[in-house]
Order: sequence, then structure tokens, then C-alpha cells
Amino acid sequence: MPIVYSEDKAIFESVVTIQEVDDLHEWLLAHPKGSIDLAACEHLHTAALQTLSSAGRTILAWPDVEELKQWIEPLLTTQENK
Amino acid sequence: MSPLLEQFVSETRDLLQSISEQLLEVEKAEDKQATLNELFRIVHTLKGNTGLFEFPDLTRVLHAGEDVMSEAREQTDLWDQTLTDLLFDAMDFVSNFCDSLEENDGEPVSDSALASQLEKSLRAYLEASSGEADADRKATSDTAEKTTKTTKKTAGKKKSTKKASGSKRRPPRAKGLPAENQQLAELSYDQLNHAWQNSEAGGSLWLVNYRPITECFFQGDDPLHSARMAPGVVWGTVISESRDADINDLDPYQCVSTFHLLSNASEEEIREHFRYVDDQTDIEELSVEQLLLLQGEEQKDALPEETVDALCEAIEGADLNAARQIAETSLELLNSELKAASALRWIIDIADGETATSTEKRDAQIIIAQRLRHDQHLSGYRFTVVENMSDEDDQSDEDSSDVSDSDTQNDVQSDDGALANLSHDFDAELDSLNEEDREAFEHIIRTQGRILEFDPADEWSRGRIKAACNVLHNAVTCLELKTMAEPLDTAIASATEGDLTALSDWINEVIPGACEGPGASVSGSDTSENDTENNPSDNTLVDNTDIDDTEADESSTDEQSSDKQSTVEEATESAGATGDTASHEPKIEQEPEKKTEPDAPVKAAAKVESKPKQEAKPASIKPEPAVTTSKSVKVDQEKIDRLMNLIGEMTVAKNALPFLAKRAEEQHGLRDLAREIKEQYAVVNRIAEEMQDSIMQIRMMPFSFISMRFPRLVRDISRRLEKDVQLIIEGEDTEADKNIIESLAEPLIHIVRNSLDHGIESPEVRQAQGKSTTGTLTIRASQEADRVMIEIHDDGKGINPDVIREKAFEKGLIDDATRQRITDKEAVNLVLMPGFSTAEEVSDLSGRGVGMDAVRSAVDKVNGTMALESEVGKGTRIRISLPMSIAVTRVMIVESDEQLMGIPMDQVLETVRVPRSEIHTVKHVQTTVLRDRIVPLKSLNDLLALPAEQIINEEEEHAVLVARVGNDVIGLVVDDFRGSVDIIQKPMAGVLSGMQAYSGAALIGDGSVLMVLNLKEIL
Amino acid sequence: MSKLIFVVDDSATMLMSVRASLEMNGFRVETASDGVEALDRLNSMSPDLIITDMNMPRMGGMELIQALRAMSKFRFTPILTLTTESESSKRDQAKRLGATGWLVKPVPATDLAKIIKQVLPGA
Repeated sequence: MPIVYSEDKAIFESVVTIQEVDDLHEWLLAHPKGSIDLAACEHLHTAALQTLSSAGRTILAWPDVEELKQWIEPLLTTQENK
Repeated sequence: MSPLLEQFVSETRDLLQSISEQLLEVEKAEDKQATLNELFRIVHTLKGNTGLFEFPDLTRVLHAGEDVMSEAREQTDLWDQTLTDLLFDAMDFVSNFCDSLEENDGEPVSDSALASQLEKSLRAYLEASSGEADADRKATSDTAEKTTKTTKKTAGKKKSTKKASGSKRRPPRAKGLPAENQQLAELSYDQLNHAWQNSEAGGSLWLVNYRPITECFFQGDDPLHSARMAPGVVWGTVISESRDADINDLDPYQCVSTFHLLSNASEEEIREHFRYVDDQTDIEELSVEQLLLLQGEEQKDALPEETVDALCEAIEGADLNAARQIAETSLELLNSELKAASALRWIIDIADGETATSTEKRDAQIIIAQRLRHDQHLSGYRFTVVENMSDEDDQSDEDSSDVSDSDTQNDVQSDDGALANLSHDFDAELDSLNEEDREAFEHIIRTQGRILEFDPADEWSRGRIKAACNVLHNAVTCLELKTMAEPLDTAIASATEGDLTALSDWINEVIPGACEGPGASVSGSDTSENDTENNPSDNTLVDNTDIDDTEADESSTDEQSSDKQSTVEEATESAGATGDTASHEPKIEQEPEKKTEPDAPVKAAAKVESKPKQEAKPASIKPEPAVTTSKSVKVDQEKIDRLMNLIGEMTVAKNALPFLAKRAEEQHGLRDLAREIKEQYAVVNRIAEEMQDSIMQIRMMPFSFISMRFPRLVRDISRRLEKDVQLIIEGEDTEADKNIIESLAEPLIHIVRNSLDHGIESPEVRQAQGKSTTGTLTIRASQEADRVMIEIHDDGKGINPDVIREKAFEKGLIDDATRQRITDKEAVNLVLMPGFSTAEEVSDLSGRGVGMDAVRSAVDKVNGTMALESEVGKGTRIRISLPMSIAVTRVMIVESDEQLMGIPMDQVLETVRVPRSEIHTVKHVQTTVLRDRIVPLKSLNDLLALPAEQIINEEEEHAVLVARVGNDVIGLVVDDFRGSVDIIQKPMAGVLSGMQAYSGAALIGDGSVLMVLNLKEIL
Repeated sequence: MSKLIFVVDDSATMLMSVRASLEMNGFRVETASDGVEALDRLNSMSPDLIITDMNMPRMGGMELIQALRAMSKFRFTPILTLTTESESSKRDQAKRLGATGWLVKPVPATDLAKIIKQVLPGA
């Protein structure tokens, strides 16, 4: 599974597609304190990125893929703990 | 032929048939539009397929044909018979091309002159019909196409010459400081510096703003992915309205983000990448120098004026080290948040930069220095620079950076001498090959090189290495490359022991850089998945597939720049030229580590790689069966034949069971066992019969398989003869065994030709006789019991029996008495006799003097019969009756002189016992009277020249088998009858095939061979 | 598991060629010879990418794209059309109906891999 959910965090792995977005959205709504681990994430669909940015959660770990991190860090950082 | 080519030929034939049908349909159709659309679709598909191969003549003709049909689709009134003729000619060309492909195993012999002529005629038609405007439009779009291709090439070139061409290609720059771009100003120092370090000084940068439409996810887009995959990204970010949206209200499927990136790729590459969303993308050109911005807080007097002046002087004198030192010292004392600090960091980072030349570095530092002075509110500084710093400088600068790029360079260069010697010999040998062999050979070597790069620890590696060794050995042996062979064999020997170094060395000697060494691809394998365009910062990443290209480029630049004889100007120029041919791949990243190849054979490598498309050719497509998903499967006839043979053997094996049962009962007295065997036999028998039935079903083909050729045939012939003919075909889905259907094709074509040639009259004659001017030819297929009937009827002039009588008599086919005696009906059937042809002269239509007798013998061959009826002035009707299947023959087994022989059941009328007393000799012929008919008798032993007398039974009766042979009935005297049996008859093979007395042989249940008599021959 | 690509074309030759190119690049491939068959087969499959010809008997590319986008399973799946040089107007029309992009026949294997990488994350 590209996203592994637990009570306090969602761990993103490899490629997160738009098919995952419904579940992600639900989990974020159900876990207002849940934070995000992107370390093993290689790509996430724009829709997933938007959902994360709207939720404004703590990013526990940025993607190991430096280039991806550079793309998304400004958007997700500014909104941490919104 | 490759499987793809075979598939192509087979599909092309199908498409040609459809085209032919549609072309005929267009002539008739009331609503031409639908037919023309369909016609266009098929030609379009056909032409699309030819694009997969390199058959320029074929593509040319079809392209013209497609254009004409496209035009005709728009203006249906364009259509006329001349165009139909022209298109038929074009399709004939295609058909012949396919024949030639098959005959010459994929290397067609094509008639280029004919292709040109066809193309010209088609195009002429197009121009005549639609005026000049369209031709112009066409020409323009063609030119446009070419232009795009050319620019693409240039893009590739630009990339590959990045390193070598130095100061040459700098575009004229505006005086003064580069403009400040709002979006760039938002970048951090690190981002700006990163972008700078990864771009060509003096070059262009592209700022791409990609604003996807809200609904884009429903077009399958993932804009973040597209943006990330863009070529040459040096910086990129996402801005999204989603961050201000409440997650509770968010519609995750609306795209509300925009994407902004900086790219150092060419404009063409960027536009190409975003071509699916070009309406959602704008790109803006920036100069790389616009990156040189100071970031941070402004603070006046952060630096003493003397320091800034000293810095400027150092820069003016292009003293990088001095400038760097001043900047470093000052930076230590400065608050790093200040703008001035960022200027100092620029000075240092520019000086340390790896790609820019010293001139470029100086120019960049001047910009920074001026911005710094501005920030510090200092007066401007007039930089007087020596334009065109000496070439030496550039050269040494590049050299030194090259060395620092690669620590291993020196080691390898010291080996150069030895290597160069060897590869020189190899090179000579390579040069001795013709171009084609050489290309193939180098391709093979390269591929093996790459195979050796795979992880030697993985479980497949042994087999893989062995295979590579074999391939290399065979390639070298096959091309007789003697100099290479010996070192190769030594290398293979050690590779077999597990040491691949020698082998990879050998490969590199043949083609430098073709093998990075055992396991080289392991370390990079994870990252090589990522497109390198994406990671411009990471120079060590190279997509595996690009390795060759990169090397060719890099090496060729190396070769040029290390050539001390040539001036830099020349060097860069020629490197540029080499680069141009060396790479059509736009995405090549610099890769300093790899610049370690010896130079000598580099030219060869570059030459081969200049055709990277080679690898994409269908030749390298691995053979895959045509797995289409349609419900029907095309099966090789051979496979069905094999099934047929197997079921034949099964039938034989199965038939042994009753014999076994009989033995169990009679010899061993085991009644129960005998009964059980018989029961078991019944089961096996049923399955075998069903199986046989199913296999026969597979062999069944519809009559349409041959009848579909007739419309075109009739059209062509009637147009040539200037006759008006309507063709009606009925019962096209009537099925019969493939062999029978196929054996019918030639005879039927002949009959149709005959009917058109001799039967149906010209419109004038018909009119004069009060007939409709249009003649009608009807071909009807139908099934009657287990036979297929084909009837061909025309309403032409019919056959005059008197003319036939005279002719047959003249030719000595009948005697005078017969001439007087025979009925009109019998007379017309005389045309079926061998040697009879009614045509006064052999016309080109009815063939080469072979008349209806040829048709008849073809029908005979498949155990068919045919009859002819004709009425003068009304027309002619030919009826052909054929068995539905020839696979299984039912034969009557007879015994004669202690031998068993088979006679096909469809020839057997009855079996009777004739008392010796009822056999009479009339005119030396033994006869008897059966059902009031005189039946001539022949002894089988006589016919087969067997020395025995026919055996008579105790009642003094002869066993007589009454058979119909052609139109005669005869009685065959045999010794005894043995019942009938189904057999799978096989033709006689080898020396026996010459024995006309037998039509074939079969195995019967007890395993013995049964010869099947060919009565027609022996009588 | 490697990505699954579904290819629709009425020409068996074209299918064979595209299939070979895709398999050479490590993709799994399923095919259909027109829109009707494609919809039928896609009932039981979830490919990562769909490539379709435009001009086909029974059901052409346009109709197929519309039908697929109406199915929730395929509303986001990337769809590329297989077109010839002369069909640029069709490309735009297909795009409006929900196609992601287009390929121009004949598609060299290297280009094909590159384009698929562009539209298919993780390919």
C-alpha cells in the first residue's frame, strides 16, 4: 500500500496515486492531529498534495528524493500546523 | 521474415480484400458517403501499418491513395470509374509487393518506377479535382514538419556541445545589468546559485508557468508529475489555493494548483514536453545572467568601500583567486543574512564553478560586483575588460577543470599507449567490414557489454555471461575477425572461470566504453530509474540507455580537445559538428567521470551512435506471437494437419480394440473380458468420432473465401470486354473442407472467365435479341446432404450442341456414330472432354488454351462431379457437386488374390453376386445384365496384372462390385467383399507416388496397410 | 509489479508492434481490436494506462474515451490516442473528451517509453 495509516501518522511510500486520495482525505478528517511521513515517498499525485496542503499537518519526514522535497516543501512548510 | 512482417503481410492481404470489396461497393452504392468513409478507414489503417517498416515505395503509393480517399470522402462526386481503376492498380501494386516480400523473405523487390507513376497519377487526380489550394496546403504542412525536425536536431546539438564550444555561441547581451525578474527574485540564494551552477553561462533559461485546468485530473493528468518530469529543471515549486481551503470543504478532484519551474533545456524540448497542455502553459525566456541576484536584507556600508574596490579590481583583472580571497575574508566578518553577504557568496561560488570558462566567470562576477556596489550605495565602477581573453586561457582553464573533474583520468591516460596499439589493430579489422556488418557487429558488442554490466552476483548471471560469451565468439568467428578472436578466446576462458575483467577489457578495446565493467550497472540501477533530466544537480546519474550516446559525445569532445595541434576555435567547431551527428538524443547530461576512454576508435563509436534510431527498428523487437484478443485464432494449416494425422492414428488404434476383443474371446475364451473391451471400445469410439468431427469443423471454410475474388474479377473482365454484367453470389456461407474450397478457386475463375468471354453477349447484341443489355452471372453455393453444390449460371448465348458435335468429331473425340446418336444434352457435355476447347482462338481471358476439361479434372481430383446444361440463346448452367470433406473417406474393402484393397464408397453403386452362367461375352467384352442394363465386367486381377484367376464361391457366383466411374457404370469382378470402413487416406509418398493405379493408402484397424484403388486410372 | 498498459487498435500489425515496444520496455500489455471489445475486456481489468487508436470499426476512439471517462474506475486513468500526423484536429477533440495526450504512429520504442514516463508516475 502506498500509504500506511496508523492512529497518529500516515506513512507515504513509493508512488501515491489519485486512487489513494479518498482514503487519505477521510483519514485526515478523522485524525485531526495525525502527522505525515513522506520519507519513502517517490511521488504523490497533485490531488494528494493538495489534500495534504489543505490539511496543514506536521511533516515528520520529508521525501528522501531531494528533488521532490524541493518541489513540495515550500507549499507544505508554510502550512504546517495551520 | 520477422513475425511482425508476417503479420503485416497477412493483415495487408485482408485489408486489400476489404478495399477491393468497398471499391466495388462505391460504384454501386446509392449513398457513397458511408462506403467512402469505410474505404478511407481501411486505407488509413493500411498506410499506418506500412509506417512500421521502411518500404518507401509502398508508403508513397498508399500515402497518395489515402490522400485521394480523404479528399473523395469530402467530395463524394469526385468518384468515378477512372479513379476506381487507378485505386485498383494501386492495390495491385501493394498486393504484388506483399508477394515479393514473401518470396524474398522480407527483402522486397519493388518496382520503384511503377510506384512513382502510381503516386503521380493519384496526386494528379487529387490536384485536378481539388485545385491548387490543397496542394499548396499540403506542401506547407510538409515543410512545417521538416522544420520541426530540424529544430529538434539543433536542440540536441546544443546540449551535446555544451561543454566544448566555450565562448563561441554567446548571444549578444544587452548592455548594463540584466533585468530583474519578479519570479526569480522570490528564489533563495541557494536556489539561484544551484540554477546558475547547472546552466550555461551566457545561455538561456526558461521560466515555465503551468496552470492546469481545474478538470485536468479527469483527463488523466497529474500536473505535479508533468512538472517534475520536465526537461532541464533547475528549480521548481508548487503554488496551491488548497493551502487556504478548509479540508472539510476541499474537493480533492479539482486542480487548484499552479506549477512554476526554471529549465535550462531548449525551448523545443520544453514545448515538446508540455505539448499536451500547451494551452495551459506559458514559457518565458530569461538569460542565465538574470539569476545573478542578491538576496537578503539591505544594509548600507556593510562593507568598506576599499574592500569593494579591491574586489572589483581583482575581478577586472580576471584574477579569480584574488577575488575569491577578498570575498572569503570579508564574508567571515559579515552578517550572513545581508544582501552584501550573498554577493560575496556569489563571488566565491562563481569562482569555484565547474562549467563556466574564466571569461564567463569574470563576466558574472562583474554583474555581482555592480549589484553589490548598488546595494552599498557606491558609485558605479567602470570595468575595462580585455575582450577576447587569450584562447590559451580558456583552454588551460578547461583542461584543468577536466582534470579536477576526473581523478582517474591520469591513470587511464597512462595506459593509453598500450591500449591504443591494440585497438588500432582492432580498428583496422573493424574498418575492413562493410558498413552494415560493422553496425550490426558493434551493436552486438555493445549489447554484450551492457549485459556484463549487470550484477554478477544475481542468480541468472552465469547463464547470462555464458550467453554473452557465445554471442561474442560467434560474432567474431562469423565475421572472421582474426585479430580479435585470440584475445577474445582468452578473455572468454577467464570469464568462464568467473573473472570478467579480461572480457570487459576486450569489449572496451573494440568499442571504448561499451562495457563499464562487471556489475557497473548495479550501483546505479536504483537511481537510473529516475530520469536524469530531473536531477541536473546529480551529475553521476545516467540513464542506462543513454550510456552509449553520452560516451560517444564525451569521447568525441575529448578527442578534439586533447588534440593539441588544433586551435581551440577549430576544436570547438569540429566538436560541435561531431556532436551534431553524434547525438539526436536531447537529454544528455554531462558526466565527467566517464571521460576516461582512449580516443583512437572513438570515431567509429560516434558514427554508429549517430543512428540511435537503429535500435528502435522492428528488427530488434523480440519475436512475439500475434496475440490479438479477437475471438478467432489464426492457426497454421500445418498444425491442423498434424491434428488430423493424430486423429487418424487414433482411429486406427481404436479400431484394433474389436480385434483384441475377438481374440480374447476366441483364443482365450475370455467372454467377460471381450465384452468389457467392446464396451470400452464404444466409449473411445464415440470420443474419437466427436474429436474427428470437431477437427473437421476447424478445417471447414466458407465459400466466400473464394467467391470474394469474383466481384473484382467480373468487373475487370467485363470492363475490358465492354460488356455489361451483373454478378450475383448466393450461399457464400456454405462451408466445405479447406482443401476442397481451395481446389475450387482456379476452376471457378476459369468458368467465370468463360462465361464472360463466350457466354454473355455484348450489350448491342443483347439488345438486338431483345434481352436486357445487362447480362447476369449467378454463382450459387448450397449444401445437399454431405455434398456441396456449386452452380454457375449465365444468361448468355448458350452452347450450340451442333457446333460441339462437329468440333468433337473434327478433333476425333467421337466417332461418326456417336455424333449421330448423342442427345443435345450429351453433346454440350462434350466440352468437358479432354482436349476440347470451343474458343476459335485462345483469348487472354480464357487462359492458355486449357478448356473446360482442365476444370473437370480439377473437380475430379477432389472426387467431385460436374455437369453442364445449355440452351441456345438462353444461357448456360454448370453444376458442380463436391464432397464436403475429403479428410475421411469411406471405402469398401474387397479381396482379390489374397490382397485387401479399398474402393471409395461414393463410387460404389452396389455389390452383387453374379452366377457364372449370367456372364456373357459381347464383342470380346464380358458383360452381364443387371436391372435391365448391360454392365461391362472387368476382372480386378486382370486390371492389376495379377496372375491369378478370380475366385468363385461355392454357388459358382462371382463377386461383382458395381461402380460408377465418371459417367460410366462398370462391374468389377473381385474375390470377395469385406465390408466398409472409414479411413484417413494418405497420398502415396516416395517412389510409390508414381503409381497412378492407387490414389493413396491407409492403415486399418488390425494395423495392416490398405491400398485405395484409383478406378479411373486402372480402367 | 510492472505497469499494465491496455492497447486498442483494429490493426493486428499495429498491436503487435506496439505490444513488442511496450514489452521491451518492461510493461505488461493487454489488447483489444476495437472499442466494444475494449469495454468488454476492461470490465475485469484495471490498467495503469490506456492507448487507443481513433479510427476503428464498431466503436472508435472518441466513443471509447467518452465511455471510459463515464466509468468511475477509469475517470483518472491516463489515456493516450494513437494518431497519424494528419489527425491533429482529432487530438484536440479527443483531449476535450478526456484524453491525456497522443502518440503519433509509428511510435519508436524509445519515444514510447519516454512519453509513458511522462504521463505515468512510477513507470
